[in-house]
Amino acid sequence: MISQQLNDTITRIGPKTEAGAVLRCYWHPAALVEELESQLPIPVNLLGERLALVLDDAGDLRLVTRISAIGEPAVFYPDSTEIKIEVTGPTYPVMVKKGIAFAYLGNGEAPEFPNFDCFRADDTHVFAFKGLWECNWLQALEIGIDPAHASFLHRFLKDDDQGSNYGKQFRDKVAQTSMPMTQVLREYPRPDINVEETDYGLKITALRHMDNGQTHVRITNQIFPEAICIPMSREMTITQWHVPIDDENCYWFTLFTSFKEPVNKELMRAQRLKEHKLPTYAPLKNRENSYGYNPQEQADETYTGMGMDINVHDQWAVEGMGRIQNRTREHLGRSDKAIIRYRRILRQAIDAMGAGNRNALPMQNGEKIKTIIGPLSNDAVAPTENWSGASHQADLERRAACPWDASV
Amino acid sequence: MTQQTPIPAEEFIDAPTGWVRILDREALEIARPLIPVVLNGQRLVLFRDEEGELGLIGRNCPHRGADLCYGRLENNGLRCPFHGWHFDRTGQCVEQPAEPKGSPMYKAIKVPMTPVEERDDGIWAFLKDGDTT
Amino acid sequence: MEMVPIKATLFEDFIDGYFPLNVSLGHMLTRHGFSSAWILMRVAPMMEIPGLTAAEPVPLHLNPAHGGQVDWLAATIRISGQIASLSGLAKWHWNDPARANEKKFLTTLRLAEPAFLRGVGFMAGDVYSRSLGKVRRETNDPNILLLSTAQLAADPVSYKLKDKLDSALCWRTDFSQGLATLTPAALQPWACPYLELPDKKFEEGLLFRNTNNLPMSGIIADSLACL
Repeated sequence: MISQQLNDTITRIGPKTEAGAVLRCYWHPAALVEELESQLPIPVNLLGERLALVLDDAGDLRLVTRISAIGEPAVFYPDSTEIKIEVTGPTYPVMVKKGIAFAYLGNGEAPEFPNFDCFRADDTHVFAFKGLWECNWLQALEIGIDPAHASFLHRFLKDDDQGSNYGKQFRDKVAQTSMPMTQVLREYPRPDINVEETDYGLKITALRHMDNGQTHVRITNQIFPEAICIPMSREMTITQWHVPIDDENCYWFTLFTSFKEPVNKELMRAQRLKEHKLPTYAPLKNRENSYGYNPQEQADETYTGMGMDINVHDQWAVEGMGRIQNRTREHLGRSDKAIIRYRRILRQAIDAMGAGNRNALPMQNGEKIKTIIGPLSNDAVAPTENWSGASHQADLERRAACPWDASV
Repeated sequence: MTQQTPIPAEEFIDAPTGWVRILDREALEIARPLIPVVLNGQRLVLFRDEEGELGLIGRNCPHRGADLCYGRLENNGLRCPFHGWHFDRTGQCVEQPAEPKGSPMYKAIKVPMTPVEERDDGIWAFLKDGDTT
Repeated sequence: MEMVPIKATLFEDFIDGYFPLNVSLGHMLTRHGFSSAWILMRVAPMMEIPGLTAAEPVPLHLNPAHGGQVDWLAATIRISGQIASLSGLAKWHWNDPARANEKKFLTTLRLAEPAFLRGVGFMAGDVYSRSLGKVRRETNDPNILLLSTAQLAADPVSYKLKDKLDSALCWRTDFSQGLATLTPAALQPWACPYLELPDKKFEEGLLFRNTNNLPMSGIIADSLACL
């Protein structure tokens, strides 16, 4: 239950807003490289600004201001030939990393990229995709730093045979065990959650103490300001940005990073194109068709009745809150501790920017950014009385066997 | 959209304060007895619990605002699919299964209830002035 | 000045919102088995709902006039039945401008969401402290010492101590006499939050060794931010 004023402060990100000033200190995904391959310029609506991605005179990608009609929808994707550039408008630098064109919309010099695994891995081991959620970026981010919801929202009442689950979240077996991840989430819904502040944001540890004397340890991360890094399977991690289009819409951009085999990009792309429509990458299941809700499925198979794709469950949860979640009516619990810690960092960052102290923000102290690696992101199982080293050990083993240089 | 939605369409009712007939009783004689209702602009959800009694409560979960129209009708109440918070027909939260063991927080949480009853072949609700939620 | 080794536990936790603050803090003390604690809390949204009893559910919607924020709260808390009694310092503000000059921090106000806090917890024992009640002596691993003296004159050495001790943690404390016996060099690896008594006399203090662990470095960072 926060005040409307505070809710506005932490959610609104247009030019000249307080949270907007914080977000503009960082690089944000602006477009998938696959979008540029068929045409240029392309429209990019980012942080409440109407922009276009173009090639400048030097042949470099650059974001420029686009002339937009009054009342143009927020998610609008005109054809290249219809894009008109506002030549006197602001322009912004762009850098391509692993299939995503990142843009920097801030003042002064852009910060360096941290040396995260998703940026270090070979191109063959990283796959990029995006999707539209019709809601504010903060509620989209907050579901990603909420380790408790997976035991409910993503509960499968039956376990799959693990056969055809490549490229899907929560469909692997757990660490070195034969237990499906879905079973652990279902049977142990009350995780102990630890949250630590780090140089990149938050490290979130969810402990599920199991009946067999073992503890399931899941480590996920918040990367300031609007990204998460979480395990997807034993082989892959997900680094996901929740990028504001404007105050009421956002894109998730994900880098799927493999620590083992090259990513089967064709398969992963085909899986996701089946669920989205181009060119806006809007999901086919949405508010208008009740997310494919099926009460019989809800009774027998899934907690939501919205199919097996957990992205749809998340999308329902965050879009159902309204375009901007009304946090004057919210009642967080102690299980929401990562959300509470995150908002505290965001409020501190807003205060620091107000005081002209950008260096106080995470990853804005130029010296150290390149030395930030990882972040550690995995599932592990260990004896309950001695769980603390298990994640680190499993991480080191995965890194040692990794075909690209994942050393830490 | 051509796909048939199994969530009944929202019923919009605007009426003066006092008891008002909002639906035919048979509207709720469906496999999953739950209907979204908008009374004087307030978004509510009407459901029948396992004891056969009606509940008419606010539509967004008081936790993080998820839409309770997609809730699970079980354990004689309505359960939010987001984190399993469980509400009885009065809107009182009776369980928060992801909160730390022993947490008393659920006692402090209640979704406002609009009085509702069945008379003859109709379902009636008591409308109050202003924002009751 | 007497230095007594006592049992103390550095901790981080979240307390529930919605209940009166002294109730939520009572829950926390009980959860940890502490009879008293020193806590530091920052940036926590708060509310006060007129007419709401402790046992009633909170309203669904926060009326802006009833909201505010605890900017910081540094207090010793003691269990008293089911609830906690508080003594300390706080900075806070209400959204309602009419309450701008409020001097008294109501321990029955409610946090509007769970709040993160850090602190030091004490279990019951037979060493008497005016601030903390009876605390447990522990000579084997005296990670923390309680300084307990006869009544000291209030002499707000205050922040100056921080400069003297450099990396150690000190603020708003009165060690004017104690300092004579403790050189800054000897205190270097320690930290000491104050214990403030209701009569505004600072007569007890805590010294911590090992300021490099995670809760303590967090306490130091939070404390400096509160200054």
